[in-house]
Amino acid sequence: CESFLDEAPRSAVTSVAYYQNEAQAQGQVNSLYRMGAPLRYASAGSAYIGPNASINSMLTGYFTNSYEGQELICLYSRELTRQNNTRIVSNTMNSIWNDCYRAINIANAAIKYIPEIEMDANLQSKLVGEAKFFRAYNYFYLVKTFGDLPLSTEPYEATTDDLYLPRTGTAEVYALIEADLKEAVDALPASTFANNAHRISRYAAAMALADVYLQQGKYGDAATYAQLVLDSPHGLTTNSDLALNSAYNKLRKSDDLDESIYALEYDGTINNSGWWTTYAFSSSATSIFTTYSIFERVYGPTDRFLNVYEAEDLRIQPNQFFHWKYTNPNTGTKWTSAQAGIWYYYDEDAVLNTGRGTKDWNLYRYAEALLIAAESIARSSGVNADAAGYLAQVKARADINGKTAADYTAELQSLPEDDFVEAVWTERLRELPLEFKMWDDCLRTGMFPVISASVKGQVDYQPLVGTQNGSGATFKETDLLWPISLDELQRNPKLTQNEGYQDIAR
Amino acid sequence: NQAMASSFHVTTAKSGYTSVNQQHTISGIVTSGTDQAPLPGVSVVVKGTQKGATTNEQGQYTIEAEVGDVLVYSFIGYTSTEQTVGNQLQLNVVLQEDAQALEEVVVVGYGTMRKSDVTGSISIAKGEDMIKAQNFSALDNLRGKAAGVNIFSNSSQPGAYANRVVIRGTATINSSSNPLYVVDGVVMEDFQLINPNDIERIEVLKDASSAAIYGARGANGVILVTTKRGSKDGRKTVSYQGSVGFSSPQRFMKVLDANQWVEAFMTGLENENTYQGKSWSLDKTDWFNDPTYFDSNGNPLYNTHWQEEATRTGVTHNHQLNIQQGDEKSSTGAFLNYTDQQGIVNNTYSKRINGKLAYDSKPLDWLSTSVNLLVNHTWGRYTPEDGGGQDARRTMIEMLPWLPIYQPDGQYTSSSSSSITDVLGFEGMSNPVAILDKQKRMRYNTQIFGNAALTFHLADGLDLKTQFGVDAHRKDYKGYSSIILNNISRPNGWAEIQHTNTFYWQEETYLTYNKSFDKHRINAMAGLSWQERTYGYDASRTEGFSDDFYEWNNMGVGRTPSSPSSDWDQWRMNSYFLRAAYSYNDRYSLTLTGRYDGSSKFGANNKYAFFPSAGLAWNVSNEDFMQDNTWISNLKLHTSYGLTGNSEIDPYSSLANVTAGTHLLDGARAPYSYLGSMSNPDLKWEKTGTYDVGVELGILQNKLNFDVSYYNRTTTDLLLAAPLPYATGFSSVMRNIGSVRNQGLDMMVTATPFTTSDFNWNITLNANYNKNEVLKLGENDEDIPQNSWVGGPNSIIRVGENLNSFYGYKRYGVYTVEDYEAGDATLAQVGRAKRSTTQEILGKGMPDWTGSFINTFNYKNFDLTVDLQFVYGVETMQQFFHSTYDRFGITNGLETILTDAYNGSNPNTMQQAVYLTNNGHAGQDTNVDSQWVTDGSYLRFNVLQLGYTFDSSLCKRLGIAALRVYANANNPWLITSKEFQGYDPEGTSLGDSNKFGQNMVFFSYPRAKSFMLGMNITL
Repeated sequence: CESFLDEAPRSAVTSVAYYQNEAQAQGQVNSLYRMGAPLRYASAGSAYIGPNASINSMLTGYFTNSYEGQELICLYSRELTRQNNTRIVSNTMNSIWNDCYRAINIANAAIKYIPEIEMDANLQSKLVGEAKFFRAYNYFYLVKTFGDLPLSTEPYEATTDDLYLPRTGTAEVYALIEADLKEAVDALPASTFANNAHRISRYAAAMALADVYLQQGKYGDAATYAQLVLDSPHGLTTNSDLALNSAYNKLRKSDDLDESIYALEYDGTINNSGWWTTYAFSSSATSIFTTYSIFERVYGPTDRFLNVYEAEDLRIQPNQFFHWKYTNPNTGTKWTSAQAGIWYYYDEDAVLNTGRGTKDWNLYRYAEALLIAAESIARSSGVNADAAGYLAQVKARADINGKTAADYTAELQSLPEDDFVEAVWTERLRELPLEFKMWDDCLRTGMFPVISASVKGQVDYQPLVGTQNGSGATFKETDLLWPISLDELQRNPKLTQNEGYQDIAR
Repeated sequence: NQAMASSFHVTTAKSGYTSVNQQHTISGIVTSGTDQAPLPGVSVVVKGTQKGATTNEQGQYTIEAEVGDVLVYSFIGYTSTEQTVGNQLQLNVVLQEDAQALEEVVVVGYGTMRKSDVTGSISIAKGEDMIKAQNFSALDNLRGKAAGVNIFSNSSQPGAYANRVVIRGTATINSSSNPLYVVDGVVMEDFQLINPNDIERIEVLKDASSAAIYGARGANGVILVTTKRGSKDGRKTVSYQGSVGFSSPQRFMKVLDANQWVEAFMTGLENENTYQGKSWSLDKTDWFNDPTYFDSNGNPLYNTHWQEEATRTGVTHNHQLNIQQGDEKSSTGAFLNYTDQQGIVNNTYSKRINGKLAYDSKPLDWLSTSVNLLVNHTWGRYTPEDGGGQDARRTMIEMLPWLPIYQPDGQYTSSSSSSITDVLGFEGMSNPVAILDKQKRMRYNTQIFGNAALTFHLADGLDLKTQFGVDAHRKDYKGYSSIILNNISRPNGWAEIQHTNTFYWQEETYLTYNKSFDKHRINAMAGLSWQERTYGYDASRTEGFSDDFYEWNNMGVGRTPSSPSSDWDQWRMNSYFLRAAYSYNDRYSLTLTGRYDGSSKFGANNKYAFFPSAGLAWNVSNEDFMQDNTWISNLKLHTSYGLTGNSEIDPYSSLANVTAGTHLLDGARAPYSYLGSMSNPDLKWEKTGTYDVGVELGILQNKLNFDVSYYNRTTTDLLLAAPLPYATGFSSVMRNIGSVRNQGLDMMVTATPFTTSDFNWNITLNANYNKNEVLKLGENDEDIPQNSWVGGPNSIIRVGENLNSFYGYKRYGVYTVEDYEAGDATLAQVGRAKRSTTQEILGKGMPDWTGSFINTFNYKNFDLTVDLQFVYGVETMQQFFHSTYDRFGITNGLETILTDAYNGSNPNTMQQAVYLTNNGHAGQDTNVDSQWVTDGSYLRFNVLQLGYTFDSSLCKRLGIAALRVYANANNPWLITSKEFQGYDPEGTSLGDSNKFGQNMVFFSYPRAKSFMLGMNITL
C-alpha cells in the first residue's frame, strides 16, 4: 500500500497545480498590491514607529520620532550614526529586503508563467503589465535604499537554483526598471486609478517611470512621462474654501480624487489603516479619545522644518497639513501641543468613533506629477511657460491671498534655470513632506535644503555631504545609502557591505 | 540477587481427632506473606486428582481430603506450596510471593522486560509517588521523579499546561522537542490533559536501546504510561481520594506605591532639569493637581496594590473514585475524577471531569482481551500569558498605583482616567481588575482515548497481540473582550470562536516470544504498525459590538466580521519493528532493535528510514567472583548505541505550498495567492545517534543505590528552516542541514540511611547535567536570530553555542557626570545606559544542572515528604525591565528605581537615571542588554507533605480497609538569586511551543503556593 504515505493537502494548492488558470493568474498579481514597496510607504503597523519610508526623512534631522529611545533606528538616522549601529539598523533592513524581494519573486513568476496560461488575452497582457509595474516599483525602492542589488528576473522555485547572487550595478537595475515600466505603460489601460478598479493604470506606470527618470537625472524622459500623466483625466484637487474644505482637507478626507494617481486602499472591514490617525497627535491625546490608547508623534516635524513655509502659505495654516490644538467634538475635551501634530493624518471617524481608519494612502498624486514635469522640463528644455505653469498650479493652490496660477507663471518664468529648479525643490518640500519623498530629493540632487531657523520660507541649498542636517549632524559620503543587513551578508557570502558600515567577520 | 527463598508456614489447629484413611473436610485460610491479608481466588487442589476448591473473599476454603493426600495451593505471583494432610481439620497457609514475580519488571515499547535484563536507560516513576503533590497536571507531578527528565513548569495558571518537557537536552530546532507519550500502547497528544490519578506508573525511555523501537518518533525520548486497571487478585476495592487546597501568590513583585511613584516622578523631572536642559517645575502641586486623585499638596489620595487586587486565594478540590475488582481471568476497573482548580488570578480556573473504564479478560486458554476507554473533559477560563500586549499579567505591575480600581462614577479606571493624563501624556492602559472582569477567554477540551486488544496465546511464551487505539480531541476556544477595555478592545470589542478537531488512530500487531531455557532467556518481538492523524480547524471572529451583552453567543450582531478561516491536514505512518533480547545466566544481556518507519511528511524521495540500536548489559554482581563480596549487593553495567528520529514537523513541509487568502482590492475582498515556500523532495528525518553507558550500583543490601548514565547524543540532518538570502524571495526553506550535540549525565541516588522498626528515612537524589552545543547550521553556518523584540533578536542560534542563547548588548554601566566632564559623553547622555554597539551572547535559558532531592520519613503511622527541586547554571532574562525600569513615567516601576537608579553620586550603578517617558520628556532608552539577564538558578521547596495512616485495627472498627490523611504545602518557599525581581525565574512569555524562549519573561502569571488537606480511604 504505497499510496498510504502520499500527501494530498486540501487547505493549500501546491506548485504542481499552480500557474494553471486565469483565476490563479489574477490571484497572484493581486498579492502584489499589498506587499513590498507600497507598504514601505503606506503601512502604519506600529504605534511607535511610522512606515519604513518615514525613517528616511529622519536623516534630514527635520523630523523626529517621540519614541526614538525605543525605535533606535530613528535616533541613529537623525544623528547620522547608523554606520556604528548597523546591527540595530539591520532588523529594519531585513524587513525591507524580505518584503520587497518577496514581491519581486512573485512578479518574476507572474511574468514567466502567466503568458503560458490559456486565458483571455487582454487580461493576460494587463496582468503581466501590472506584474512588471510591481517588479519595477520594488526594485526602485531597493535601489534608492541600497544602491547595487542582487538582480533576479527569474522566479526562485527550488534549492537547486542559484541562491547566492552578487550585487549588480545600479545602472543595470535601473535599465530593468525602465524597461518594465515602459512595458507596463504600453500594456495598461488609459484610465484613472479609481476608474480602473483601483488597479495600476497607464498613468500610474507613467508616473513611476517619470519618477525613475527624475531620480537618475534623465530629465527629458522624465518630462515625457510626466507630461503623459498631466495630459490624463487626472487633475489637481481644488480649494472649495481655505478652511476645512480646502484641497488639502479633501486629500485628507476623500479617496478616489482625480489627484490620486496611485494609492493603497484601506477600509473599515477588510484592511483598515492601522495606526495612521494616531500619528496625528502626541501622547497626551489619550485623555481625549477612547478609540485608540496610544498616540505618539512618530513623524514629528521640528519647528525649524515648519519654517519652510512662508507665513501666508495655506499649508502651514492650522488644520491644513498641521495642527496644534484640537477639541473632541463629542466630548468637548481638548488637546493642545506646542509642537505640531500632523492634521493630514487625522481620520475623523476612526479616531472619534470606530477605531478603524479607512483613508487610502496616496503613493503618487497629481501635484507631484506637476512638480516632476516643472523640474524636468526646466532642466531639459529650459524654464518655459509649461514648466512655470506647472509649478505655478501647485503654488497657487497654497496661496491664501488669491494670487492665481497665471500670476505665478509670469513670475516664475523669469527665473534663471537653477533658481527655478530650487523653487521646485522647495515646493516639493512644502507639498510632499508628509509622504516621505524628501530624502529621495536629497539623494538625486546631492543638495541639502538648509531651512532658515529665523526667516519663514527661506531655504538655502548646500551640497549634501559636509552640510549639517536639521539635528546638527554632518552628512558623510557613507550616509547616502543604507547598509546591507548583517543577516543578509551572512546568508549570502557573495554580497559586500556598503561603504562605512559595520560588516560581518568573514 | 536479593534472591528470596520461597518458603511457607503452616499453622495447625487441633480441633479434633480422626482416624487414618478417613475422608474428612479440611478448611482453612490462605493469607499473603507480604501483608498478611487473606488471599481470595487461590486454587487448592488434591494432588493427582480433579478435586479442587478456590478460596473465597475472606481467603477461606474447604475441601474433602484424606490423610496423606497432598494439597497444592497455587496463585499467580506466588510460589505454589504443597501440604500433606495429617490429622488436622484446619490448614491455614501463608503463600509467599514468587521471587521470579518479585523481580522488577519494566515496561518497554511493545512489551515488558525484567529490569535486570534491560540494556538501556529507563527512568521509572510510580503513580502513588506522583500524585502526592495533587497537581492538576501529570507533568507537574512527574517533575523531579525521573532522572534526566527536565520538566519546566512555566506557569501557575490552571489549565495553562505550560510545561516544557526536555529529556536529555534539546536536540532539534524546527521540529518539536517534546517526547513521545505512549499511554497503554497508544500515542497520546496533549498529554497534560490526562487525569494524573489514572496513572499507575511511568517509564521514560531515554537512550537508543530503549527508544529506538519508536524509531522516527523516539529522538526526544519516550514516556510510556501505564494506567490503572481492575484488580487481578480477586479483591474488590472501592477507594476515594480527595483533597482541598488553597493557593495564593508565592510572592509579589516589588513595585512603587503611590507616594513612591510621585517621588520617582519628581526625581525624573529633576534629572531632566539637571542634564537635559529642561526647566520643569519641581513643585508637585503643579503636576499632581487633579482633585479626584490628589490632595492639595499633590499627594495621592489612593494607593492601590494592583497585584493584590488582581489576585486572590484560589480554592481547589479534587475527587477521585476508584472501583477495582476481578481476578486472573477477568477484571474491571472504573475510575472517576472531578477536579476544580481556581487560579490565583481573578476569574481564572480550570475544571476536569474524567472517566476511565478498563476491562481485562481471558475467556479462553488461547485468548485474552483488554479494553481501555477514557473520556476526559476539561474546561476553564484563562488570561493570556504570552506576547507583549497589555494583558492583566502586565498591567498588574505597570498600572499607576495612585489610581483606584473605579472612577468616582463607578467606571473602571484606565491610565488615562485622570485629568493630568493630558499634561503627563500617559498611554491608555486598562487596569488589571477591569481586564480580568471584562475579558473572557474560555477553553473546552474533550478527549476520547482508548484501545482494544486481542492477544492470542499461540504456544508457551508465544503471543500474538493486535491492538487498535484512538486518540480524539475536540478543542473549543471562545473569547470575548469588552468594548470598554482601553488599548485592548475599545471601542469595538471582539468575539472569537475557534474549533480544533484531531482524530488519531493506530493499528499495531506484534508477535512476542518470551521463554527461558535453562540459563538462556529470550525476549523477542516483531510487529507492524499503521498510524493516521487528521486535523481540522475553523475560526470566526467579529468586532464592532455596541454592548457587552452577546459575547460570542450571537456574533451576527458584530458590525465588522473578519473572514472566517479554516484549515485541514493529515499525516500517516507505516512501520515495521523488531526487538531481540537475549540473556545468559542472569549475567549477560544483549538487546537489538530495529524499526523501519515510513512517514507521509517527508519528501517523495525519502519516505522510509531505518532506525537500529544495540545494547549490552552485564550484571557483574551475579558473577561467582562477586558472591563473597559483602558490601556490593548489586552491580550492573550497560551500554548502548543507536539511532532515533524526529519527524515532528508539519505535514506538507516538503512541498511548495501556495499561500492564499483575500484582501482589499477595489473596495471589496479579492483573492490573492502566491507560492509561499520552496519544495524539497529530499526532505527526510532528523537523526539522533545516542551513545549511552551506565552503571547501577547497590551497596549494603541496597541501602545505598547509584544509577548513573552518561550519554552523548548527536543529532544530524536537522530539520531546519534553513535561512535563505532574503533576495530569493523566501526567508527559509525546510532542509536537513546542521547538527546539535547534547552530552551529559543522569544520576539517581537512593538511600535508606536509617531504619528501625518504627522509623524509616528514604532519600532520592535526582540530577541531570547537560551540555548543549550547536555544531553546524545552514550552508554558511548562518546565525538564526530568534524572538525579535525591543531592539532586535533577544536570542540566537549560533554554531558553537548553546541552542538557548540569549542575545543582546553588553551594559557597561551608565554615563556619569564624570564621563561628561571628561568629554566622553554629552550632558544629555548622563544617566543613560552605556552599552556595547554590537550584540553578544548574554547567557542561556536552559540549565546545566537540574534535579531534585526528595526525603521521605516514616515514623509509626506518620509519614513526611520533603521534596526539593533545583536548577543551576542557567540565566533568566527579565524582559520586564523594559517597562519597569526603562519606561517609568507612563508605567509603574520597580521599587529599586529609588535606590539603584543613577543619581549623580553613584557612578558605579548599572541602572539608568530616572528619565520620564511621558510626552515632551526625556523619553526612554531601552534595549535588550546584559542588565536584564540574571542568574536563573533556584532551589524550590516543591512539596512538603505530612501524612498519617490509621491503624488497620481502627479502620476495621470503622468498617473500612484503609485510611490516610495528609497535609501538603506546595511551593511554599523559593530561593532565587538576589538580582531576580520577578515571580519565578522559570517561565516564558513566548508561548508553550517556543523552544528558545525558555526563561525569557516579559511578565508572567504570578506563581502560586498552596496548602492542601487530603484523605485517601479504601473500603
